[in-house]
Amino acid sequence: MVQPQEEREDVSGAKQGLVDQLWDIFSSMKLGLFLLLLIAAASIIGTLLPQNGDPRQYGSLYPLYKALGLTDMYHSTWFMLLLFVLAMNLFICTFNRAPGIWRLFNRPSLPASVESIERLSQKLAVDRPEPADKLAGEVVERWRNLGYRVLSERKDGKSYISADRGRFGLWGSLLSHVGMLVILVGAVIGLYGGEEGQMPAEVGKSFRLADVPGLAITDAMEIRVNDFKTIYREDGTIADWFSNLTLLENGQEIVTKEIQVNDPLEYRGYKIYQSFYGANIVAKVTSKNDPEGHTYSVETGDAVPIAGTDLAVLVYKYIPDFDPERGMISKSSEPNNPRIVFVVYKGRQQIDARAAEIGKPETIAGGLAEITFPQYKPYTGLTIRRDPGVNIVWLGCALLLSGLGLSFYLYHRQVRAVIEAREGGSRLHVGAMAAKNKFAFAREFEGLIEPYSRSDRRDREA
Amino acid sequence: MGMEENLLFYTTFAAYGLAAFLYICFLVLRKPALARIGYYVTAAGVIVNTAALAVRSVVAGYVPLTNGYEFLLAFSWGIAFVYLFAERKFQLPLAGAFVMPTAWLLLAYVAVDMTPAERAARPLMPALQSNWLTIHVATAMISYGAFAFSFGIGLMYLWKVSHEKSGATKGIAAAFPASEKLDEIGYRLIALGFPFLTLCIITGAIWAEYAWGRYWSWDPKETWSLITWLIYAAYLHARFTYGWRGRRAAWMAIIGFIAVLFTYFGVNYFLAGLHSYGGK
Repeated sequence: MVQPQEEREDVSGAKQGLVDQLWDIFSSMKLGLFLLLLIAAASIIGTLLPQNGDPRQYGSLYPLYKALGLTDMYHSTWFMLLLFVLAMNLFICTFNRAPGIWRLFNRPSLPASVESIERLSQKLAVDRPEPADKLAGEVVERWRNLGYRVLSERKDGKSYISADRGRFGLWGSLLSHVGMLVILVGAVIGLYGGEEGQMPAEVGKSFRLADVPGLAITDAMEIRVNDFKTIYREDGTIADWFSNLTLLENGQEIVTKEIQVNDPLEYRGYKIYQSFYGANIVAKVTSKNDPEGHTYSVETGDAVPIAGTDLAVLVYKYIPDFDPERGMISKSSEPNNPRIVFVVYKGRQQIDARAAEIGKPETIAGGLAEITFPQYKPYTGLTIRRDPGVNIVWLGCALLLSGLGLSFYLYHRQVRAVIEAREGGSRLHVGAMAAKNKFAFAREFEGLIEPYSRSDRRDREA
Repeated sequence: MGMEENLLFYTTFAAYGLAAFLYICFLVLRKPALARIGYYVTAAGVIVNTAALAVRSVVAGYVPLTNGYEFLLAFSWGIAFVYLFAERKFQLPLAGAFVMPTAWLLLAYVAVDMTPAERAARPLMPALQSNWLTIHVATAMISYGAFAFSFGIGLMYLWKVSHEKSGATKGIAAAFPASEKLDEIGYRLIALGFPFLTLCIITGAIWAEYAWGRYWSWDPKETWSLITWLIYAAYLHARFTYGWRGRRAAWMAIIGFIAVLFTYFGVNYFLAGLHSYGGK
């Protein structure tokens, strides 16, 4: 990007083949700019229309949206195609520009003529009393001391000087484009080569990774859940979830780790995340009309009907360390006095709320029914992911950032001079340019030419 | 929210308001003393703003960048802080009249629209307990601060050129620096903000990878930060390749900052997603 007016132009003017034309279209910055704005516009649509939503959300236009790929836009063929064309454009631009940057970086050219200097944005032409050779030596010396890389040559009685600074900044834009490409490559690898599955797992149980829906693993890898805990704060809010996991391979224990949110277990490209949680609860209800009773398997938040009545029991919350004084806030994170809080509804009206001990029957609605929670088994919800592209994406990010750093915090500036011998001294032509930071560079340029900027200092001092 | 916190918040709010007022007076009356006082009031505001953030981090026990109130306090800090340095660097006190009102308006939004409950420090949900969060939001502050400034410069630029066009030699815009200089300053600010925005998006991605196992999930906030990034990327490309300067560049700086504001406010109001806790 950040080179001025270096758009590749076919100067030959000869007629081009189709390949050349395509190459030119693909390598043009116009296309790149157009794509950037097009992708931005498309992304806006993607945030306004719900993605992967229920068909009913979209109303009668659903079939149209669906056909246009707008319901899962970021994975639609046309969006992928846009990204692909952008990647091609980036690739060709980068490829086209590299040799030019390399030349500028490696072998800066000496000024060809006085006229070429006069075309630069900053310039000075001045007569000096020093002889040409002496002045050239001084100029070279001064610029070197100011941190410039200086090249000089004598030809046909003239001295040609070329100096530059911040030349590593030249690589900035190239590097950041390579970084973007690497990110896109990593994303594609992740998209097609990655996998993800989710598994609720009870404490004490193990499961084979191969049995997790969504994962295509053939290795004999197994996860055992040693422990799962919800950690509460003093005020009853949830501080964190911990799962103590052991990973086994062919029955051998490989690694044991306590994972938590923001800290997954990593092994051979697989990452195991703490991602959700829940509990398998058994609720047994008996009532006068139903002395045999019914057994339900529920989770917190579920409601259980009481047969033959308009009563229902809502399983509200599990409290690991119940203390009547603290009510709904668990005293600690340890299951010292586990209770299940349930709410009794009559119709839509809440008529009772109680904290039941596990396995102990609770009589409700004045003896009309009885509820027991014989079993409470918490489970940890694990997400297992493998994304072979993720490290490539990080590498791309690092390249992108270093590229931007070079581009914006280190800028390339060039100064060129021709010194001709004149009667009684010499004539100095200096010109300079910088693609960025023009105002800052204008001040720097003043410093570079400061001793020479007046045609006859000695006169003035006298 | 404690009394000290409240006091610090309203002092910051008052300081930025006063600074904005002084700079606007300076714009109209052109008395250098006004700008000088405005500068010191801004500096005092930044100090109090810093104290407000520090008190919050002590009260809450975490880096105070997790809810809408905290982030707005940090956002206004970013704008005022970047402003203090850039004003000196570019010798452009007139810009205060365009930049400081933005910082003040953000805090006005807090004062008018946020209930004490929304401002209170709350314990962090597990996913937010990450060091990446700190870098993620700190980089956002700097880039947003720089973009807010470039937005102000964009407005100044447009005013300046329409003034130049009209041929008037007097009036407020006559005191503005030359339009090319404004254009260049606007660019420099975007060049400062863009790498920080990139870093902000990348640290967000790293954090998401640790928290949810997915560095990018096209959540509306993520998508909007990408849209913002694309707009500024387009600005930089257009500038260097097509020499898009002046009016078009100024408009892009304005549109870019509107995208920044939408990423911050609009997404929370209009679109749901993973970042909804970042709202009010």
